[in-house]
Amino acid sequence: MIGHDYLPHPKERMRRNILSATPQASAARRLLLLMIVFVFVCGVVGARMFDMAAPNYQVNPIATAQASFIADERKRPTITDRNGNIVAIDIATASLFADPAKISDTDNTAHKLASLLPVDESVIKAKLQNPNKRFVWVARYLTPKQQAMIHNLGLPGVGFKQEYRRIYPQGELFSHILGYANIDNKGIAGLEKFLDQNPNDDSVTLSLDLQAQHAVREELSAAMQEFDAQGATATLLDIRNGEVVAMVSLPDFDPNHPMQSPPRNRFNQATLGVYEPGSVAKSFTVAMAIESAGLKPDAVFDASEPLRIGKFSVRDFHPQARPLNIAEILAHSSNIGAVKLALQVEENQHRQFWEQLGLLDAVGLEVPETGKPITPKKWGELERATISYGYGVSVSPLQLATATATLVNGGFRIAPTILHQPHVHVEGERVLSKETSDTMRALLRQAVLAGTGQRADVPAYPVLGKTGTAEKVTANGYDKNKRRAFFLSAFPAQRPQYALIVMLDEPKANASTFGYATAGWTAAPLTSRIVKRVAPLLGLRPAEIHTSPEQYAHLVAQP
Amino acid sequence: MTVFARTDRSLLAHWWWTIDRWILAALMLLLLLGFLSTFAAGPAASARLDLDPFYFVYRQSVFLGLSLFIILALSLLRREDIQTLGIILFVISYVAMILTLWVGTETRGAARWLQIGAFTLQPSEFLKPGFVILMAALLAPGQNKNTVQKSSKEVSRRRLLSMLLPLAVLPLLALQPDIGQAALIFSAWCVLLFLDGIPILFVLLLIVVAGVGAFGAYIIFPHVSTRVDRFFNPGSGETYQADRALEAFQSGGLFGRGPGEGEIKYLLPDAHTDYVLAVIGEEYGGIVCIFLLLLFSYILLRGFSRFLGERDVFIRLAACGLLFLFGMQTLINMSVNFNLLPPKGMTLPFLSYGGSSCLAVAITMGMVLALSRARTHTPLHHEVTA
Repeated sequence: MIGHDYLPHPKERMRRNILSATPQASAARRLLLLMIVFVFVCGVVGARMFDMAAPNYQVNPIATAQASFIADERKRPTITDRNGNIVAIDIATASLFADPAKISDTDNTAHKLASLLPVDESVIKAKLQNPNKRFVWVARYLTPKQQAMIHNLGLPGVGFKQEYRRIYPQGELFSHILGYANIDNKGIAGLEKFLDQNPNDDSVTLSLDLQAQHAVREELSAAMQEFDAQGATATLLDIRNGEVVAMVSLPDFDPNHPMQSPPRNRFNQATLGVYEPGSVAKSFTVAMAIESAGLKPDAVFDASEPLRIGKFSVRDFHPQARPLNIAEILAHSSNIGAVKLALQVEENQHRQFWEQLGLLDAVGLEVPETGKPITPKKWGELERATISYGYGVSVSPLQLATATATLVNGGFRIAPTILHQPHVHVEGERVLSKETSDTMRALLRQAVLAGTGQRADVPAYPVLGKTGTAEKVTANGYDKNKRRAFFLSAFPAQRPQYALIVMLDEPKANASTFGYATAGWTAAPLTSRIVKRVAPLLGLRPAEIHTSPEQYAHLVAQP
Repeated sequence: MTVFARTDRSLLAHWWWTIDRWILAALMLLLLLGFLSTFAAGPAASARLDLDPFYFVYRQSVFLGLSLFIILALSLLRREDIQTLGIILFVISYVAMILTLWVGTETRGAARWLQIGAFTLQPSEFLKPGFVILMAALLAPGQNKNTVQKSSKEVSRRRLLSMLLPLAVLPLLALQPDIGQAALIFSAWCVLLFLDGIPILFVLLLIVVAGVGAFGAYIIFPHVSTRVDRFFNPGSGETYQADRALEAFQSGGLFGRGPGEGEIKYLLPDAHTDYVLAVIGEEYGGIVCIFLLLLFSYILLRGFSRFLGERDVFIRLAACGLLFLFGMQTLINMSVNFNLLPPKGMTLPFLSYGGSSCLAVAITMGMVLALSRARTHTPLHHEVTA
């Protein structure tokens, strides 16, 4: 090869050829141009690859919606009673979904899934055949066994999502307190709804005591059966800090399957229902007379004659037909006496006293279902007369319990709560003087010892309280044969710590009550049974078992 | 690297010292990845067709083994052998393509295949490398290599003559119809003329002709027009394959869903062939796709750069034309997978299932390897002087 004695290194030779103007160099330039075009196209394809696979790429708005759906999955807090027993908890379960666009054989997929699920094949098929949807639920909350079997089918286009399901291990026990969550784990009623509106920590501790709640529910249920009542409710309240220790409304429901119970069962009589309280209201009338009118418990009023107010006449249910002192008015539940006491105070004072006891405004509680009291527009003489013995104002049993707490806790207003409180004593607004509160303890004790509430007493845990029997309002006015029986109480008498309100809706007389269906024969014994079971659970020390009731006579303070 | 002494002048020793070992290694890696990818897409495809689960794996393994053999065997050949072989290949495939018009196996509306025993052969795949070799031989000035300067008259005559080739081939492809291959062959023809040095004015003219041709295909062939319509206006109709492929890449993300976790392979009829990249992207992720792109680009650019200073016109045109076929086929397939182009029947070299495609690419790259070392057949001066 002539002229090629020296051949430079190939790379140098190449460079030289590109730079010179020979035909070869021109060819090299064209080839270089082709390479640049290829590099450019490779760059475009590479950029597209990265763009597609990069995590933030979203071509499909449905996929985005799907992602947000998953992100929305939120765990609900675990709820325990005051002693740490779990009453509501989320468990992780698998739910089966399908992406219809990715299912190649709809018939086969539907057939195989239907064989393992309690869902009809045609229903599944219909879901899978919707070509516009990229996400359909096939079945929610599978058991681990179902999940494993479906997984082993290896079907394309279906998958599992972890979903939390709310479980209420205590079933009906806390139904109205907790409420329930729906299939998407959203709080629909009760505390569950409250927690959605007021986001909370990982766990919530109730003020309620599982054992006390169980005892209350059992006794309430037994009483409801015994007296063939339509419904029953009880609220047990710590009078020092407003903690609700037990609250039951019967009939109730299983929050695990709330919709299997009729709406009536989901109605919370303790907080949402408002009722004319009947004679238990005389406790407030008496307290008002002592606090606002400055009367002493031995002040005497004539109750021998029915009282006429306008066209209306007030009679006593247990007529004593003699002058009665205030203690006797309460113990014998004299309507005439109550009206006379109420009329001792000014119209404004009357209304203000009820307001201060928290009986005229809806009570605030951590369940959204609280009823607004029904109050008269004007507090004229007639209204004030009927209110004095518990007609004309409708309040919830919970309100009665908080008002009772004020009567006997030294005179402080308390805010009821179903959440565990860090402090045993909460000093609220003072409504009554300490002296009035002490007097009320004695008078209410007297009402149990010598009055209509005798069947409420418990030897080891002396009870103070007041009966109340209210006729129910029907289409034709008050019905003498349909009543609500209340019992307002607090215990232990020597140093009250708990207030208890029980109510029986339409209790019927039976042989054991000698034909009576009034509170003294129904709600009072129920109170006794509840206190007997609950007091030891709450750690109360029993009083001397062998002391006779008469030994407490000194408690009826004679100033 | 002391397998062969440099002074060993035997055929194998000479091959070892002259072969482009990097391109060879990249091709072997590609063959290996092709083998792995059949495990991803093959069993799903055979399940769809009620075949043995490893039907496609077995067959593709045979094809890939044959491909390796072809690459190695062809890379041993001399420049003159390649020229002869290419022309023979062209003639045989051209005759076979004419035969497909009468005895071809029609699949999904196109008669592109010839049944030979248990195999179906797609002659147009083999025609492409033959076409490039024939073109290069036509344009290159005789056997005297770089010593003879082409007279301009001679050059023009050869270039005019080369126009006969696309005129002979394109109508056959249009009749099958196989517009994708037709476009690829036409563009190879253009690129070879461009590399041969036709004036830039003619290059622009060729681009215009290509545009007219593409529009003509759009007008004449209904399947072309629907595919193009759908590509530019996705709402207008069924874009099932393209949509599923894009979803596969998205669901795979950068790192993939893991081997066997993909779903697209159950959904697309072409998942193991044209859309194998979507299967890989879903199971192994975007990073692996980008790696594949880099591997292909490496082969392509290293191949081209080998011929930047090539004086032998035939070698330069033939090798660059073959590399162009390889690169275009790869990039078109990748673009279709990522919905940058309307769908067309173009396979991904060695990764897509298909015997004809595999063997034809093996022939193409075997020839490139042979041509890349052809220049060194003459004794190396600096070695001799050393």
